[in-house]
Amino acid sequence: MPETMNAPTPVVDPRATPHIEVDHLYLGYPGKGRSAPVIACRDLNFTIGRGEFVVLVGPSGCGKTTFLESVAGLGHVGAGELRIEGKPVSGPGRDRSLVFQSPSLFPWRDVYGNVIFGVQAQGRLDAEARQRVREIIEMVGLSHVATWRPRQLSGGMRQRVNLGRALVTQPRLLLLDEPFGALDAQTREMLQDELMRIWQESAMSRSTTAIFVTHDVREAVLLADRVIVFSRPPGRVLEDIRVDLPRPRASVVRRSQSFARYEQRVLDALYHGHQADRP
Amino acid sequence: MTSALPGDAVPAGPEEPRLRFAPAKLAWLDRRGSLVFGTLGLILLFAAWQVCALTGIVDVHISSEPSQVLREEITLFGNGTIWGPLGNTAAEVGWALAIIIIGGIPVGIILGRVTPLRQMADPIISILNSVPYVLFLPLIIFWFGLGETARVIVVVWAGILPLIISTTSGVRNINVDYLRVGQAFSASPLRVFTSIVAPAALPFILTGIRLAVARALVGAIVVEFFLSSNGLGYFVQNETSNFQMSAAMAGIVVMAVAALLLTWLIGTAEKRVISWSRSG
Repeated sequence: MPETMNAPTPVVDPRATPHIEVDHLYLGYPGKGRSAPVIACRDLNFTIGRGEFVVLVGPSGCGKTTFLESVAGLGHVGAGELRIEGKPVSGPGRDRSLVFQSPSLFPWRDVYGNVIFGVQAQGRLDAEARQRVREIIEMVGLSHVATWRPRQLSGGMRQRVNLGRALVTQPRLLLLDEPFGALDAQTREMLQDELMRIWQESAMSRSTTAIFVTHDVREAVLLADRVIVFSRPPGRVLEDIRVDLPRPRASVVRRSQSFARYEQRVLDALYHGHQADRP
Repeated sequence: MTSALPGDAVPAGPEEPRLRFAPAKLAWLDRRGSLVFGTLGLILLFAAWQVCALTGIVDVHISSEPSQVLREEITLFGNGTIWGPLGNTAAEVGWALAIIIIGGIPVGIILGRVTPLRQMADPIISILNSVPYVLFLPLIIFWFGLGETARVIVVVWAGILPLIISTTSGVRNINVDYLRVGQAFSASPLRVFTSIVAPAALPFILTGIRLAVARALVGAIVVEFFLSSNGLGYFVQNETSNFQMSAAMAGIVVMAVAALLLTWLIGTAEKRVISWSRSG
């Protein structure tokens, strides 16, 4: 029977169909010269459901950024399988957007120009996209400086442009690589709240999956539906913690008791992981 | 709408009191300083020259003097004698610069992007750049004769290498983060080129053009000394050998003004186009 456009959508819990499947995945880099390859992650096994906000935490060097880059299609897969929507990752795709650790904005473009780059690069620049660019600049709170160049912006503002550039392509998969890592504590908290608000208010939280990499445990608990704790390098999964703090969450959730309990659980996982690694 | 968060700079709105971030007292000197003092320097130089000539420290017949040069200038422009040589040199330099820019930038970009090609070209470019091109002059005359073609070739030769070298290093020194952004958003190679490589290399390209212009001017004069019967270089040489020092000096001044204008033009373009690259 031929499929028709107005066929009723099957009633499936979207969270039940895995968006990303990680199957005995080894990640790493070729060794320099004749030395052996470097392993960044060892035998990763988990799935990420559609619409989930997953945060990877772990000590620096544990391969969480490498994992994120491999999901973005920038390589690193040594063995095993990494599938997005059932298909092995073979390169970057329009369904994914990467928010970089350093904002990497183009200094020759203003805020508007940087945000629009995402859709421009994908060749999807139309009136609707332009409208969306304006909305997203508004959403990340930069309308008043839309014509400013990156060098005129503060670190927090640059990171919001970076986020806007990723959102404007309407990705099904949003990848965030320690986007707030280089900011001062106060700005970082504000941007965490901001991201949480954007995530919860927009329709994204239902259709978009997010993977967020950080080494900040509080940040992880605040944002995550699920925290995956990585070991010291080479990274493997120490624990997979579901964070059932109710949504929409607000800034004050940081001061709740259950928040503190989750924070402790993640810290424990990290700590015991380190202990177990000791000879 | 989220309002700006603390920690973010905000442009001053109408509701603010009149803000007294007083520009420095001599703001016009800050902006015009180089023009004002630059002109002053030139005036002092000419004044010193004039004084030396008037007091007999230098022989006016050998060195001429500013007042005579000025008179000569008026004559040359008055009866139109200067337009021939000036036009000739301008045409030469113009053609050569067009070829340099149209040819040099793509070559520089290709060498910057294609590593094996660059490795092949590197020694050749080093040799051409370090051996004075004047050495090849006799050969070029032998191959191309004494005509316009030979002269343009020499000027291109003189000017194109700095542009190629500068463009290549501009393309090679692109911040890899910028390229990763392109890659992550699956930009096509053409898009990467037009939206990332070209703008990122632009400051280097403009620097290369500035160097190329300076070298091309030298090349044009040199080539006119050697194999020409017109052009400013020939004019100056000819007047000097006829012991017409004021006319020779007048020719040099014309050349200097033209060179200054060209440099200023490119400097302005550089400032306009790449305001972002300062203290990036």
